Amino acid sequence: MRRPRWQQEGNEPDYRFSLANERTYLAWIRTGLGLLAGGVALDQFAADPQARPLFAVVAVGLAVSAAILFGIAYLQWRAAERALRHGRPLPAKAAVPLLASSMCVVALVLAAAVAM
Amino acid sequence: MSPQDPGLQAQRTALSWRRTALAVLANAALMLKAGSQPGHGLLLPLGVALLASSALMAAQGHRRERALLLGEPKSPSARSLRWAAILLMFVAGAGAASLVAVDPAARAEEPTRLQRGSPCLHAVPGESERCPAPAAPGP
Repeated sequence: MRRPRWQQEGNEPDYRFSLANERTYLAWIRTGLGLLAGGVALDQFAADPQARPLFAVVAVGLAVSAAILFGIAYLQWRAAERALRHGRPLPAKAAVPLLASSMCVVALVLAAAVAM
Repeated sequence: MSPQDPGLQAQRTALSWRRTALAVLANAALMLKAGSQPGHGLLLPLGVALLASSALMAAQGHRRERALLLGEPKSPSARSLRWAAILLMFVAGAGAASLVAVDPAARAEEPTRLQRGSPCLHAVPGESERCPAPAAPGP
């Protein structure tokens, strides 16, 4: 498959690092898939009509987070790949605090919904 | 890459692709199951799209494994990773939109009898005196 220009600049990185980067991308994709499955499942299994509106909001939020995470997965892979090719330090991962804080919010909202 | 590669990088990377294809497959099954519920029909085409993505990902894993084992181990083309991300972003975004679209309708169809803590929630109507059968509709 033809490579974009930025993938031909710099030096071909050590394959151990670039394959680790590829696996990290796939791990983020799987994390997003987990969020998406959680959202669909929450929408399905929330049978209590009184709890449903809040559950539906969380389900939609999870699906939207999954979409954002899929985009971030690619952007982070590309940033790391660029850094590897030019021998620069790896960029900071913005998705880690973002994911942790949003999952914290989801867990607290669900806890409140269950307790209500 | 020789089989002596101490980290078995090629196998790990190919297995990672397979695992991801399986995760997409699980999502497809869930999406198709959810889409078969009343009011959730918009999820059905998304489930089919995920099914196709799962097959594409499995094929990509196979291609990556061959490229890594037989040829020079190199990072993948940015294009394949970008398309995988875009496809999944579309499915997740459309899934969120259809959950927004169908939820109020599906909720409205649910009988109001199913209130929280109601003894009728899991009982067959009419079988218990606490849970009388709904009145027959008038003539």
